[in-house]
Amino acid sequence: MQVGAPIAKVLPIYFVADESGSMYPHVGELNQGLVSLLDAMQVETMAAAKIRFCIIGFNESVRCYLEPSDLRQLEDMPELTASGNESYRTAFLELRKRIPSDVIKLKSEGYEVHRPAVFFLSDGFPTLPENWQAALADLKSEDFIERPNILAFGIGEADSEIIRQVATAPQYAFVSAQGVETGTAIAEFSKALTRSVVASGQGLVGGAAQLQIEEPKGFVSLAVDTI
Amino acid sequence: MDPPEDQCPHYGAGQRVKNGSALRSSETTDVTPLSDSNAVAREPFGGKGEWRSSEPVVVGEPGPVFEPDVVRPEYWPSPFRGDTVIDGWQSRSFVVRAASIRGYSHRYYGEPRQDDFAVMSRADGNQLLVAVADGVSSAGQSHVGSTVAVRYGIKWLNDRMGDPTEETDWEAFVGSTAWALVEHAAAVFGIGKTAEDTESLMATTMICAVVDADPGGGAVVHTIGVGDSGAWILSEEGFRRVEGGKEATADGISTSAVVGLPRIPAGVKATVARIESGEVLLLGTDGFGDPLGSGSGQVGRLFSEALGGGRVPSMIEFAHKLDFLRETFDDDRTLVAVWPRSGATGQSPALL
Repeated sequence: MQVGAPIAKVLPIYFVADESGSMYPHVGELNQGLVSLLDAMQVETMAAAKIRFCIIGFNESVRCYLEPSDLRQLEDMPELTASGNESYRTAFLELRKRIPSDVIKLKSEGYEVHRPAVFFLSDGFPTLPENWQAALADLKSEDFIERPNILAFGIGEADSEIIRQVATAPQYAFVSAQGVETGTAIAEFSKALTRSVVASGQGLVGGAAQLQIEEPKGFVSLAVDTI
Repeated sequence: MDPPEDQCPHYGAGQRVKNGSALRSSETTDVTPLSDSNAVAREPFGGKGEWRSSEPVVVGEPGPVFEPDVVRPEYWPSPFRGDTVIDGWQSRSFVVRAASIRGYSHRYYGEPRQDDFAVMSRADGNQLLVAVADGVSSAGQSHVGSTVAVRYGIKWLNDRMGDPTEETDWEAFVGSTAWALVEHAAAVFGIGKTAEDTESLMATTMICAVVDADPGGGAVVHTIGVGDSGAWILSEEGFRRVEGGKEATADGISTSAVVGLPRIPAGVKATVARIESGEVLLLGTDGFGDPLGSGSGQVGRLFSEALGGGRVPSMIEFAHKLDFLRETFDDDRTLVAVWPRSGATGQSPALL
């Protein structure tokens, strides 16, 4: 199939944030991180033009705070909250449902669409009795045409083995190092998120791999078996 | 659970819109923007060859306009990497226009033009050798790789190609060019003579064409490529791809990852095509091929009007249009256009 005559090429990025009650003391830092991302993207406009950024929060239920958007056009970031328990299944089902329709919408608008990326952040583990593994398998399935690259970041009480399972490749899985305070880890995650989003926008030219990952300071990559 | 409508705001045009044209260079450095992108003429190409050299050619939504940054020292030892290279001439059987232009992204971030080209006339002007290469961004000195590939490639063809052309040993051609990269990388950068080390430093795509004039009119083209640079023929029916270029994957999701020299694909062989009088052969990198797509959009129209119907633009017009401004398409662009002269009936005196 030949590429049509696209009006632009874009990379959809989904930030999927744990909004369970345990995040309550730290959600302000996360929101500040999103504001910093917005500030950066409004300066790095060439990179921002290639990104469509979506924000999804989850606890027992899931909320879309920002439809895939051009951050150059956005005045304020929405604010995440924190309450309840984590349901990973809910988050995975939401991604499985919305990514195909988002991609179709972008294509119908004339965009060439690169494989979506998910930045998944959690400070815990699935606390509800649920089959989150099946929902994750559906999301990562080879049969799912628009399956995203998933980067998983674990902080606080996150289970490193589960974080490793969520990521689509070992080099996409990170947990905060032992002894690093959760607030600090969130701040470092936010910086890495901004750098990765900007670099991915820049990287969509010239044959670079489309996802440019910046390892957050104070995190341990699970690509090497050090846990 | 589906979110309520009001929890999913989409900030489209007209809603809480901030001025999206902020540009890093104008805010945080001393670089002065040349002009506000809003002031750029949206339709500078009127279809009759009209153009203004003082303004970028805008296709659709423009990207930002700014003064290019100097190439950073880490890209030396080739400190004389020009932003733009332009060439053009006629031989007995062909008219050529060629340009290689640093992309807006590389201009913005102080990176060199990673594309390059070389064109040579031979056989009393009845045969052309064309090479176009695109250094792979993830390889730090790929601009050196693309230059080595096109220069070595043309030299190899000139020295060793078959007569007739179809007897050329294309596998030897690709293999020798790949090894030239390995040798050059070892000599200049002091790395080991391995394809792996060379690939990580100097990987580059390459597409070459040998164009033989047909005494009866038109020409026969042998093309051979490694990676996603491409070859097209522009005719009255539009753009027809004859080699390379970028395919969407079967699932319609695009990828920007490419394979290039010194990696050698299995089963190297040349593609053969004919260009008739009035048609144009195009060899280009993906910086041209991606926005062109199938050629059915605005970029296709720009180049159909500039190059089609027997019209040959001036060298400066050719380069200026190749430097078109279109949001998110900010890769280096290289394009070589070849018109057969024999039997031409076009409006351009050069073709007659």
